[in-house]
Amino acid sequence: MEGLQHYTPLLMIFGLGIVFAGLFLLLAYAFGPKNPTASKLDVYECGVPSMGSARERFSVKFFLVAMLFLLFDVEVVFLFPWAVLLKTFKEAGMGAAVFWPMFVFLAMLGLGLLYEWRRGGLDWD
Amino acid sequence: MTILFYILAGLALISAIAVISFRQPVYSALSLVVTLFSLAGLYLTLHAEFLAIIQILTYAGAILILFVFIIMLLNLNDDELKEQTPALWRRIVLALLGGFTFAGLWWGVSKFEGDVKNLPQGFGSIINSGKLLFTEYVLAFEIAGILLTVALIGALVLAKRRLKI
Repeated sequence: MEGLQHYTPLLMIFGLGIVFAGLFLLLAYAFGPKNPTASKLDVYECGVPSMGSARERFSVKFFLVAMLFLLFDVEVVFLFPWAVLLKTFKEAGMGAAVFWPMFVFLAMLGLGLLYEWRRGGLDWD
Repeated sequence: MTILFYILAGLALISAIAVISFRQPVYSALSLVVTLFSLAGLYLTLHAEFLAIIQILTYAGAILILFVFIIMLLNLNDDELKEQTPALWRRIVLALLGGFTFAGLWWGVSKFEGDVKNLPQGFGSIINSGKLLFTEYVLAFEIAGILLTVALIGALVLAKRRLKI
């Protein structure tokens, strides 16, 4: 299929990554000395004895941050084609037709961000 | 090219089965990354280049983060992750739902009558997708903006205990 050739380097990176990572894991597994002792197998926490379980319930605050990241990530997705196309459209005399939709789009999300900010959504309390 | 399809489709299927087979939800989430990456590869072979990159950026990047956060929020312990068999009626209902979904997909694909063999030059690239997005589908684009803003406010209202005035 035409047009996919320039993705061959990507495929090679994936392939080499898998091969090399797998190879070295395998080599370490095959040739590494294994003398397990109780203290070696112990849970390591910066050298001090570990306290309690690591499986603590996380605060929903983290989720809010992740949610905001996702939303602005999706926003940036729409910016990519816009950034690529703006010049082409401008040269064709249609700059405004592409500029204003994105302006409205960013204004809406900007207002959302402003709301978030003013209502303390970005505060960690 | 067909070989590439079979490799990617097989990888997607195996990792998708792994998602629902693993007992530990973190393993399921990691298998889902593999599924999403193989789907991105399939999109590439279907000339949907922009979609493939977005699939990796948002799904394998951002949405998987949300899944991992949910796993951390639920904080399932080992007792809750033990082998459990759901009730028979649940399994029947779920199997039927899955069957209906598959039948619907099958029907939709068999109805499709486009020419997928002779695509115009640059089909699915960021330039051509963007041209359509900002001309023909500009209304949908703005509605997406409203949707994102609503989600922004909704996330704030739901996840924040006390809001400043």
